[in-house]
Amino acid sequence: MIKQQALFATTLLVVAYLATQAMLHDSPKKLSKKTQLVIQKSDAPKLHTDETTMTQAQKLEANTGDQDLKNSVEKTEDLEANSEQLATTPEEPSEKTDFTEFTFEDRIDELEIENEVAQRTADENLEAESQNNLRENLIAQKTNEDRWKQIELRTGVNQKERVLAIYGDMQ
Amino acid sequence: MLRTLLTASITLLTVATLPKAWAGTLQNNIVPSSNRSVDNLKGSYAHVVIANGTHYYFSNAAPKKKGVVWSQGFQLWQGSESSPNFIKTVAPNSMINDLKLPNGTNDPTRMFTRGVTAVSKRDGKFYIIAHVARGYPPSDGRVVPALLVSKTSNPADGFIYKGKLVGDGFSFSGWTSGMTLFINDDATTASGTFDDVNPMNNRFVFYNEMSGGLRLFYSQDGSRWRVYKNKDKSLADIRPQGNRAIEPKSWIFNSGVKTPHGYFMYVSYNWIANKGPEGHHLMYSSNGIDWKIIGVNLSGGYGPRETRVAGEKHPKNVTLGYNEATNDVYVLVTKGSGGSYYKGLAKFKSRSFGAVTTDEPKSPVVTTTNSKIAIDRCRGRCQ
Repeated sequence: MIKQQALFATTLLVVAYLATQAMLHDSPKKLSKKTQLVIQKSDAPKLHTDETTMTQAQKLEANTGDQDLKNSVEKTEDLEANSEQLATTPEEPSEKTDFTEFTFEDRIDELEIENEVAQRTADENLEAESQNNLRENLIAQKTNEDRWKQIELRTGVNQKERVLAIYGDMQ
Repeated sequence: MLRTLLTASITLLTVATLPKAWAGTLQNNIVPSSNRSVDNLKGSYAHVVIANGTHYYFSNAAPKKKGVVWSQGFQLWQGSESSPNFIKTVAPNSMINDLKLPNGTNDPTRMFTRGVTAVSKRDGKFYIIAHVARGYPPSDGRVVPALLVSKTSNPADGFIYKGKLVGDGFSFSGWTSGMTLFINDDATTASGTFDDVNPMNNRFVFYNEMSGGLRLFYSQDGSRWRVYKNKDKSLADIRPQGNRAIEPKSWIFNSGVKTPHGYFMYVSYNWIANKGPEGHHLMYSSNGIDWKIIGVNLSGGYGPRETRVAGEKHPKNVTLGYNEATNDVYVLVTKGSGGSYYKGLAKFKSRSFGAVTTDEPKSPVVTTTNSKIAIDRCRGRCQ
């Protein structure tokens, strides 16, 4: 009887042990984030390493000594980190926005074009001004000639010659 | 011995390497034997103004373009002391707005000529008195002065035309050519009033020919002017009086400067058509009112076509400039005719310029009571 009871108890222990092992093997996949946080929170004061540089999994391993648990949590953290990165990383920069190379050379080209345009505009303005001045000068000279002719017609004397004979090039 | 030789060598080397252009100023106070040519500068009337450490040249012609004068008006040149570059037309002829046709439009023949520029320390602006005319020769027989003021303290920013000078009880008429303008920034006379007793107390003083004499005009605002009169109310003639040799002469193209050593003024006289003036006088005054001649026929050539100023024979006109910072007096000589002129530049320390104002100056300088005047007169005109 005692022998049977001892065998039954041993069997129960073995079954219980196997069941516990089986449960522990499945638990990381089933651990919710909330559970992990609870574990972390409850064990936090016992941490012996630098919290600021440790990952959640490292903290778990340090406090539980469970490598599998750590691996599992690492995977979760990696997934979360990846998802966050996917959400925040902008699109790959195109060649045109490569600041160091494209804008420098392109800006030089732009400046050269701007300078050429400015110079051409200045030349055109100067040319226009010159033409305008030349035209005004010609009109002025012709008007002056006409006036002296009118004076000559009125007085019968070439007054302009008389004036130039006195003053010459005194302009 | 070795040290003496070394010192002598260094001295000789120093003298040999002195700028030849200015050497003349050391040899003769009045007529340097050499001078610098100012090749770039164009125009028959030009002068230099030194302000803010800059040499500004003004003239009545721009460089030719494709063989023709493309821009007429008052021109600004700037650069080194004797090599100014053309900057721009700062006062085009087209801005003259008080030479009208009977129908009220601007006369197309209006033009600037014969100008002088002075700078006011009070407002930092440049003031020009330039003559305006209806073409050349002027069809109405008038070449009269007008006022222009720079927009800013930089003359390259352009000028505002203020109009022909208005005489208080008289009018500017005929052909005039005055190119001496003094600005008295210390003038205390209230705006709109005149100091008739001492005309030099007024803010603006201008010398110009009128009614056969050389007159002193004064103003507070630069626009409205009075002419200095004798006690008997007759027009004062600033030409030294009592000199028979000079009184009958026609004085033109005056140009003067004010220095700590007194006032100096060049004048040309007796214009000969297609040749130029018969000669030039250099005058000195301690107060701007009483003048005496300190140089007659400045080359000592004593005769028409022999005049030499600053190393140049037969100049058309001579203008003066003054550098207050260095105390140098600049003599700018314009020579040529037919639209082709070149310039010579000499400079003196005003102290040296002042040194010739003694009553017994070196030959050929004469005073109004010096017997050499008779020699001058006969050598130049009586032979």
